[in-house]
Amino acid sequence: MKKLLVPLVTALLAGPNVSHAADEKKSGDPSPTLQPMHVPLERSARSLPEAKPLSAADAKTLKAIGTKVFGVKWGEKTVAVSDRGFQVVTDGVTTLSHRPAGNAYFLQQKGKEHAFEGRGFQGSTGELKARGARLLTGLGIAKREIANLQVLQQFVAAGRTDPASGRMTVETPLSDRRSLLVTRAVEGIPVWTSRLKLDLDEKGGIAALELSWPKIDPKVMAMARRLKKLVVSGFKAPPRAGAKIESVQAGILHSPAAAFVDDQVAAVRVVYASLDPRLGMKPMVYLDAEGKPVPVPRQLDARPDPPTPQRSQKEPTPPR
Amino acid sequence: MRGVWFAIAALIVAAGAHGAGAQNYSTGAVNTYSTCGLNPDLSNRIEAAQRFRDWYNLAGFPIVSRWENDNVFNTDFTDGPGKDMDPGGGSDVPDMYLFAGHGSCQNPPTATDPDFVVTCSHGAGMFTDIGASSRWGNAGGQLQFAFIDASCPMDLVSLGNNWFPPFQGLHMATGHSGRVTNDTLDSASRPAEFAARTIGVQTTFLGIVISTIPKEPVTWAWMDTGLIDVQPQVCAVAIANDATRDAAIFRRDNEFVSPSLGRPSGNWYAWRWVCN
Repeated sequence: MKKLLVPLVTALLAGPNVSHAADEKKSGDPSPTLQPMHVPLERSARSLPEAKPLSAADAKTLKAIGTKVFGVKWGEKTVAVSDRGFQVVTDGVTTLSHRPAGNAYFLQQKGKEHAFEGRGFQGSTGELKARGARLLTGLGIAKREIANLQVLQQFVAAGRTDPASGRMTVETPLSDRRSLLVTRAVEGIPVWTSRLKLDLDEKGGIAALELSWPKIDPKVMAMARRLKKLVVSGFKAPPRAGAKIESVQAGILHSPAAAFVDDQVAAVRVVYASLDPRLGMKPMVYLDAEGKPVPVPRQLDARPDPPTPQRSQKEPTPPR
Repeated sequence: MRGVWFAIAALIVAAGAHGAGAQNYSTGAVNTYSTCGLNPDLSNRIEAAQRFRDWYNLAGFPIVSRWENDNVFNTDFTDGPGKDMDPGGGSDVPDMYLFAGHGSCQNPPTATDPDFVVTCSHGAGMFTDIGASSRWGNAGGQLQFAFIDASCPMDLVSLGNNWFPPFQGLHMATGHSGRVTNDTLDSASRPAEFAARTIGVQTTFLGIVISTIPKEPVTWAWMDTGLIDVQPQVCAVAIANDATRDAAIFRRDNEFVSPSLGRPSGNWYAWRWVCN
């Protein structure tokens, strides 16, 4: 039966916008594309887990979200599957994946190789922000939960070293792509992991999107309110040798979009600043009401590696 | 223009040695510095490296080493036999290396200030000056991707001095630019979020490969995740090297960890950054 189904599904997806291998080059393409070592589909597919077909109802709902909220113009044929808590719909060019438990979405429009080809959105900052806000509203997310809409500007530069003289030259940096980052707060309490990251293409379509905006468990919310009061009334953050306390804030953490599990926790975040100006990287801990560390929400259900033995080679003490 | 495409085609042909899933990797994570008389200790670097490994292990990338604390030797980032080429854990041995630990910032940095990775091994702390001491991809070195999750290891103002020389076959590197007052936080999750996007998650359905979590080129994965748990004005930076300007730009914006492009050689560098 499977032998019949494969050519059937193949036929369903046939069309210029669909490829079976991730980087299949289209014939007649005038410019060479990046095609680092083609991996035969059969070999790569064999090593991957097998998804299950998504129910027709769920597939229809997800496609509709793609169309109505994200503005996706689906190709003629789509495939919808369920994989490790994710629901995924793809037409070979646009792929929308959704993890309902974490209210997480990924959307990418694949170019020749990836979603970030081309110039990116050329409209105004206001348009980009408005687009993000509309998108969240379209998903039923309350405006009052939007903490900040931040347009992130990327820059690019190039330079060289003259091999003869060793002289370095660096070109003037140029502004390049912009993306939108939206952060979240509930009742004024930051939900640190929640975010919308939005990249639009030159025509204003979504090139790439990542959203993680889960419903907060009432118990977690209750704890967050309690921790907020505790911080206001004077939470005693533990001291740390060689550092001073820089900030203390109550908030909520959860598993991010790129995750197969859904943890949530309320915590007090303490950030320290080093007293030794030579050492950077500010220590940061998440604590419960008693000041004990809380585990940072997981992404995977993975077994931690066993402890490593002492490294065998003896190292001579180098000068500082 | 034809020269550009010829160079890119050459990259493609040379990529054969490292196809999908062939890259190996190492991590080096340091929480404890107090045993070397340096403070403060960090809390989350070892967990950050573990979570990074969780994704690469899921994707089936072979691991070379995963040292922690004083098993991350002070010489692991210094060029030379028995140092970064130490088969037991040198940073130039694997194809990819994540360092998670302290760096060292200036306030603010200037064009001649060094960038550092800071380790603590055998009772002695070490501030490895990347520009002066680190060379990756030379003398048999294999490193293609250097992911430095520390503070201020890739300051923009001094990028040429500190990061052009280490590229001796290295493809790309990622890091942060910052200062003492505005710095990178000790995040348990940032390296793992980056890892997830560099490898993506795929599934198969009746022979068709489908992306559940998108796989992104290194630079875009870093642009998407490098600002997680950093303070305002900190920048996430990704830099690539190649033989021509166009080839360096192409590599910067298009190279995946796997399959990666061919080994670069040349004197052009291209970088991209985004600031919080």
